[in-house]
Amino acid sequence: MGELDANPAGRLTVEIANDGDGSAIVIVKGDLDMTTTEELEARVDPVIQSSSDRLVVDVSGVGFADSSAIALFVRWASLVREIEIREPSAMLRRVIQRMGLADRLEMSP
Amino acid sequence: MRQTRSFEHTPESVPEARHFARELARGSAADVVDAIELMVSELVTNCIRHTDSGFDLTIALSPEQIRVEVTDRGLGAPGMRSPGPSDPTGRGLRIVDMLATRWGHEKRPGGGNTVWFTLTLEAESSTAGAAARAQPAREEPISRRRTAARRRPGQPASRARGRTRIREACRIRCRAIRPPVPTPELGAKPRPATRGWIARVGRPSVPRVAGSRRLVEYVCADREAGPVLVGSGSRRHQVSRHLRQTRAVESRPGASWRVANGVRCRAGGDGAPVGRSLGLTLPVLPQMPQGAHYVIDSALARLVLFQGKEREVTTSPPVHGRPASPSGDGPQLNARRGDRATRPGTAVPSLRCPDANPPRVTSAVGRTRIPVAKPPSARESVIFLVPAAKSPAR
Repeated sequence: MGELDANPAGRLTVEIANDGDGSAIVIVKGDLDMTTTEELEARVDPVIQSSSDRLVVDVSGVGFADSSAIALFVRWASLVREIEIREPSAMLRRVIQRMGLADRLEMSP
Repeated sequence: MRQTRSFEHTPESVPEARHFARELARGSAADVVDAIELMVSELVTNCIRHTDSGFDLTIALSPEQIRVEVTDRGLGAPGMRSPGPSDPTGRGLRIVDMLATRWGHEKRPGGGNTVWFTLTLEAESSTAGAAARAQPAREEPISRRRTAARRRPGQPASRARGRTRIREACRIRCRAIRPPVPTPELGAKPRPATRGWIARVGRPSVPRVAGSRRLVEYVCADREAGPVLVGSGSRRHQVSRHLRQTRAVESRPGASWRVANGVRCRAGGDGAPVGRSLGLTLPVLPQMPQGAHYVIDSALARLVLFQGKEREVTTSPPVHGRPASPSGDGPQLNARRGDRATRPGTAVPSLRCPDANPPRVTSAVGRTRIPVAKPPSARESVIFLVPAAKSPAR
């Protein structure tokens, strides 16, 4: 189901899994900027198309994320019923909160 | 230390520029390096997205601060946007605004723009973690209280103090205004948005001041109940929500409502909105023509807050649909362009003081002193927010 690439510094890898209750889990590793978000979007698109219920984006392995990543999360939030950003970095969490997106992009823990 | 590197106009320049910045800032605290990397990414992404040329990235490091400049050869000028929660894009410069101590942009003489930001480094550690790292002073975390960092020792933080005063003023005002806000009748038919009383959302003719943000306030008022704050917001979704609300309120039978809008400059440097629900109250006058609304003089990026009784307001000569005059020092009432109110010969009232020698009131922020039409009293108040730096006259 998922796919793993070799992960030199910042290289994007995306792994997609389904948990039992219909949520799609996207495990992202690497850096997220304008050069990688397109690829990430292309990888996750089919998942959203097939089940637009709940999307969990595990970003614990994301070393860097800028507004391109936030733009993608916001787009996803409008396509699925629920979205969860799992384990964002301190900086990503701060940016999401300060941009007033904490309600739209649920973060855990 | 100052280093410049040129990058090509290709998306791959974004990670390259980030790594370059990260490398140069390596000796600094981790949160400083992260903030610089993120801001550089935002600025160079803008270069790639909005220009068709490469860019130069300059990083100047000193013990006190880090300054980063990104120079492109694009034609347009960068501008900070206010995306709503469902707008995916438009947050790049907002993030820079949130993280940087200061930022700004300048036109290059030969074409192109330089967007720059600085991060002030705290001279002394204030956290145990930073002390444990036992790094030299310049490698300590950046100050989160930027005004404190900029302040010279022994000098009062006039800006910070000004902001506090404004916040206090806002709280007082909100308490006074909030209770009478009527519940909108949700069943009421929404009116078309072309009605004259609907406040304009944003004014593109207003020159942008770096770091300023627009706040639109909606005030409904009727002749019996007086002015009522309906809502205020700096974001598109808030604005549309309040417009819906306003329409519902307006459509109550027998009510005579007016909507006012204002534009406010952001005084806070920390990204926090100052006085989000600041109530802007303006008198509704019997001679107010249908469709007239207040325009707060925003050309100087300031908010004029005025609460007064009708007798304190005199009527000025007719205004023929001009936007707020940038030269006016006091609050002004102008009719909306193309409105019925702008018929020649229709008197449009203006908030002018009949006093020959109006007293002077110090502005809440900045050093500018502005003559105020009347001294504030218990029933009325005048608050100016003036950016400390002069607004660009373009």
